[in-house]
Amino acid sequence: MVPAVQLAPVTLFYAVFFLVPLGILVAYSFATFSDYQTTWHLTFANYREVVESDVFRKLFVRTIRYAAIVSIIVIALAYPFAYALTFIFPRRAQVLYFLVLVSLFGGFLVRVYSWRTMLGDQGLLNQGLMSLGVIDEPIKAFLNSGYAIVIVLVNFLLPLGVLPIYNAMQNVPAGLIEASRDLGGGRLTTLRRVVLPLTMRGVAAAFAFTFIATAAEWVTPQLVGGTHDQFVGNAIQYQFGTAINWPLGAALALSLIVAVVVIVGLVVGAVRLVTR
Amino acid sequence: MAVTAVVSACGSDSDGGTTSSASTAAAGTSTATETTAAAPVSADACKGKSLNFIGLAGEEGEKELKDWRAAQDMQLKVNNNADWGQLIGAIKVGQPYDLNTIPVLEGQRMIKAGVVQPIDTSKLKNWDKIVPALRESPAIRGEDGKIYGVPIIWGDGPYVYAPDRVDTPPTSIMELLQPEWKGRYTMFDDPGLPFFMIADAMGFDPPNLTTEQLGQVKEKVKELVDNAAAFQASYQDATDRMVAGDVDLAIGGWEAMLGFAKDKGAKLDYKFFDESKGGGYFDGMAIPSTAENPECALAYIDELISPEANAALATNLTSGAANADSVPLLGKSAQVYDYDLVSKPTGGIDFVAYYPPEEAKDGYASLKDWQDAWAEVKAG
Repeated sequence: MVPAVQLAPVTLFYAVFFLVPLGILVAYSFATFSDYQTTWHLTFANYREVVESDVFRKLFVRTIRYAAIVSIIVIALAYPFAYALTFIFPRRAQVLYFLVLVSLFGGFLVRVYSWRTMLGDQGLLNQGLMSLGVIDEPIKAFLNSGYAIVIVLVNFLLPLGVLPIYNAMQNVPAGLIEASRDLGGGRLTTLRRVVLPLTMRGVAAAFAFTFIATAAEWVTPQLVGGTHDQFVGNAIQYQFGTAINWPLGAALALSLIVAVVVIVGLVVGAVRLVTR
Repeated sequence: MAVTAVVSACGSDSDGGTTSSASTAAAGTSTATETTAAAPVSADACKGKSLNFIGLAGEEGEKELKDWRAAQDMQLKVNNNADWGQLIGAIKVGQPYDLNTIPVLEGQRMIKAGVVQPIDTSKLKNWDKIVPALRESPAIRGEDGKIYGVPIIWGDGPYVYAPDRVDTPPTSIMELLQPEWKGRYTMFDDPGLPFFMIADAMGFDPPNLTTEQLGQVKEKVKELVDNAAAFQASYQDATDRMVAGDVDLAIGGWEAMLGFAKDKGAKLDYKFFDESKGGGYFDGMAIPSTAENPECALAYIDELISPEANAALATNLTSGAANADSVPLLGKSAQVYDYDLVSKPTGGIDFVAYYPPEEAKDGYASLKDWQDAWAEVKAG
């Protein structure tokens, strides 16, 4: 069978469920919205508003900042875990790996509400600190804040960081590790000079997964963030929902996609350059 | 007394159906749909049919009309909208809904967006029993004078608070700008209520604000949002936050939240800000322009505003009944409203429009201006 025929189902699926919706989004982003109606007078006005608006600029900066923070923390936690799984506890690796996968099955909203319970005034954290005498009254900043957003997203996205890094570590040839040790390299030297360079693409993939997922968020800021912690996703939701200004919402969504693709592309490109 | 007033206000013209009190009391709003005689809609229109509803949870009469639907061998599919834009959008793109919620504050937007169709109220046996303040409301009338929605429930606009943590409930929304309220309340992510009430507290005439006034109001609203703990995702979400002890007050309140909290073993109470002016809301049923079974939808609406069904609906939703004859049948939980407020077309409860028009007069702020100001406030 010729490759083109073999690829046809995938190509069709990709076209119907990705390219067509994206095309519709692109079309809407150039439409005109007036008097509650979308009309097909093509315009750049929506993109001009996205670029020129101080409000949207703040939201983009905030979103990208949080996405970077969450990604860095996830990688900082996922890398040692994946390392331990691969090189320190290889016999228990399958069980631990399974536990990571199981955590992905938990409902997202259930977890958000669980964290809300734990971070609230009467929650585990505040009450624990109060019972230990560390604080006299609940710290409100644990909930309805940027901290809460980061905690919830790191918790939820950690498996997405562990999986690609763990897979990358599986591909590190055992011979190279042995060679490093035979040449007198300690565990840290081997990690720094052998394992890390060979797993950087896994790290890049983990960054891409977590960065994209965080940048697209709007539920977590809504449920555990404060009134000034909204992301671009909240603005998109507001434009498609309350304001029913689909053209502006589409322009915001596409601008976010472009911004995320550029940033992730730069990071992945830089990693490839360094590890070539 | 309240019950008597409202029944007497409606009962006198409830026998005909061709010349409703709507056509006599609402000057300038009478329409052919109200005055032209038509055969009452029959339940037979729903025999073997299926209605597709989109709107607020619990308002579709799923529980209240269960037996009626079974008698007609009809099905009801229920879809709940996250917000009004979603509902409008869904109908605009052609999704085939037969019934939708039409809230007073969004009525004109839905009518202008063309997502709902005119309703021939002369076919409704229970139309004349609707309390005057709702029946005569301009919110459900289009510029063509036609009626586009049938009120089913109403309520006022309180704030809800935790009495064990709020010793002195605020009387003005401006009190929430004080430091002692920092991080203690939630509000909806919507400019209408905060802009309206703060503008009123500042002595302006909302929703008619000049662009300069809007700028002044925006600064105060910013203080209000700065002090808020979070945006509440829903009434239930606000209740949960108060029950958990994370916040003490919800600006966007509903008497039903007291019941939600009671189910969880907590006590909440409600009051009104002076600036809300006793302002309230009502929700109605409308027939989307995409309806595949409009005649059945009309029969269903008529049954939903029958005395028994409407009383059950209002009781289950802790709301005011739209049908005056439902008032004596209400359950205890819904007996919290003053029906004198809705016994006249005007002069009672003020079903205020919290939003300015899309196209404002020169020098005045439009809806887009309010939304932009709100976006600025939220961006911090």
